Amino acid sequence: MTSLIRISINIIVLLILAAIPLGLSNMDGRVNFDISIMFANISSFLQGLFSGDSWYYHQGDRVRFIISDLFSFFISSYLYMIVASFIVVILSIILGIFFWKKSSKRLDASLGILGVIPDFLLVLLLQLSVVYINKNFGISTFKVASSSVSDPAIFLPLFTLVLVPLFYLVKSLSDVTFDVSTENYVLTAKSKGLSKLYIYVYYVSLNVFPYLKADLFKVTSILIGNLFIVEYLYNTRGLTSILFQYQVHFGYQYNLVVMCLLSFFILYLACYFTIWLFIVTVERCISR
Amino acid sequence: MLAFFIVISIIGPYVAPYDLDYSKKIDHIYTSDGERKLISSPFPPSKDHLFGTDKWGYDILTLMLYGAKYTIFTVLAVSLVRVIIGAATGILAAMGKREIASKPNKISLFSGIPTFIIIYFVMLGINIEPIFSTSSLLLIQGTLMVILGVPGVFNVVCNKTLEVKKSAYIEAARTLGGSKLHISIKHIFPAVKGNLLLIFLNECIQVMHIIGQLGIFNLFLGGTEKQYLPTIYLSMTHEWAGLIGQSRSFLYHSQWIIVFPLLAYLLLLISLYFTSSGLNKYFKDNIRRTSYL
Repeated sequence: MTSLIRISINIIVLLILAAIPLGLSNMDGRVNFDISIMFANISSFLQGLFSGDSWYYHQGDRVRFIISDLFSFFISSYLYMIVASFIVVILSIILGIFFWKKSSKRLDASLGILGVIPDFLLVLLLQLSVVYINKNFGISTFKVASSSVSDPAIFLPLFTLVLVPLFYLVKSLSDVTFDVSTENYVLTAKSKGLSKLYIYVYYVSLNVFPYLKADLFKVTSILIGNLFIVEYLYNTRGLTSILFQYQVHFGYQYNLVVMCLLSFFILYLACYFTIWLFIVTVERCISR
Repeated sequence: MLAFFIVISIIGPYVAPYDLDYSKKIDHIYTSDGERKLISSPFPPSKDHLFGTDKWGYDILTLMLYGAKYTIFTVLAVSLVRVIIGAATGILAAMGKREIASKPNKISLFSGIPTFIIIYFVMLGINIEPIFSTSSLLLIQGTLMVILGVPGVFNVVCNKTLEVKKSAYIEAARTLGGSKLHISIKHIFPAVKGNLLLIFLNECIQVMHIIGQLGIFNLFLGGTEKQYLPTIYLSMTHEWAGLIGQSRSFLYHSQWIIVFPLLAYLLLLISLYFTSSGLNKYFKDNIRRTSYL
C-alpha cells in the first residue's frame, strides 16, 4: 500500500517536472512563471490518455502513434543496456570475487582514477584519441559516432557504458569478498582440505551474491545515468534521442516527454529484473 | 605501492589547494583580445596563446582562467552547503531515533532518471538566453543541486552517527545527563568530522559530474547564450564545463579548443580524487582482520 502511494506521488512529481519547461520560461524580456499552463497541460494529458490524444505526437506535419515509435527506440536502448550490464556483472564477479586481491590493489592504486572520470569526459577523451590515432597512424580503430541507423557505433558506447559501473561494482564486491574471506566457515572449509577453487565457488561467491543483488539497484541507476550521456554523445539510436532530439526538431511535446521518462523507468525495471534473473539462475546452479 | 600512496596522501591536500588558489589569483587579468591576422582563427597553441584560441580568436587560457572561479566556487559552495545541511539534519535525526530502522528497498520512479535530468527540465526554460542575471541563475542552479544532493549526505551521516552512537562514551555522556544537542555537538560531531571532510570531497566530485553533464546538454552554469544561423550555444561565464560543452564539435579539427578545458577539468577532478583517497587512507580504521584465503 505504501509503495502504491509512493509510486503515485512519484508519477505526480514526474508530471509536474515535465511540465516545468512549459510554465517557466523567458517571455518578452522577462521570466514568466505560469502554473495554470502547467496544470492545463497535465490535465489535458490525463484526459488524452483516455480519449487517445495523448498517445499521438506530432512529427512536423505528420501525427504518429507514440508507442510504436517508442518501442523500437526502447529496444535499441535496452539492447545496449542489457549487453553492458551482462558484461559488468560477469566481469565484476570474475574480478571482484575470484581475483579480489589483485583487483582491489589495482583499483586502489592506478585504476581508481578511471572510476571518478565522469562518463562524458571519458566519451570525449575516447573520441579524441580515436581521431588522434586515425590522423597520425592512418588506422581507423573504432567508430566515433553512429552516422546512420544501419551503421551504429558499438564498441565505444558499450565500453563507456561498462567502465564506470564496473569499477564501482568491482570495488564494492572485493570489499565484501574480503569480509567474507575472514569468516570462520572459510577457515573451517580450508582446514578440511578443500581446494581453493571449491571454496571460492561454493563458500565465498554464494555469500557475496546477496550483496551483489542488493547493489544491482545502484548499478542499474548508474548505467541508466550513463546511457543518457552515451546515447547523446555517440549519437546512437535510443530513448535519449527521442527525449532531446525530437524536442529540437519538433518542439516541446508534453505527452512525448512524459512517455519517454516513463519508458526510462520501464527500461530500468526491465534491465534490473533481467540481470536479477541471471544472478539468481547462477546462484541456483551453484547451490544445487 | 603503499609508499606511493602515503606520498600522494601527504601531497594531495597541498596539491589540490594550489590548483584552486592558482586560478583564483590570475583570473582578474583581462586579455580577451580578438586578434586579427591573415590566418583566421582558431589559432593553434603558440607562444602568444599558450592554449591556442577558439573559433572567434579568444584566448582559451584566458577564458579558462576567467571561468575558473565559477566552476570552482560553485562546486565548493554547493558541496559545502550540501554537507552542512545534510550533516546537521543527519546527526539530529540519528540522535532522535531509538532503533536503527531497516532500510526499505528503494525503487522509485526516479531511480531510472538521473539527477541532471531533473535540473535540465527546470532550467530548460530560463537558462537559455537568460533574463535573470548570472548570479541569480547560479543561485537557482546551486539551490537545485543542493536540494537534490542533501538526501545522499543525510543518509551517510545518519548511518555513521548511528554507528558512533553505540560507543561507550556516548552512553557515559548520556548517563551523566547530557542533552541530545549537547551530545551531538560535543561528542558526535568530533567523531564524524573526518568523515564529513571526506564526504565533502566526494560531493565536490559529484557536483562536478552534474555540472559537466548539464554542460554537455547546452545548459551552462550561469546562463547559455544562443546564437542563430547556425544555431550554437555559448557559455556566458566561460566556466570549464561550458567550454567543454560548447566546443564539443571540435573533435575532428583544431582539437586544442576542447582538449585544454577538458584537461583542466580532469586535473581538478583528479586532484580532488587524490585528496579524498589520501584522506581515506588516513581515516581508515586500523582494525584489520586477516583473510584466510
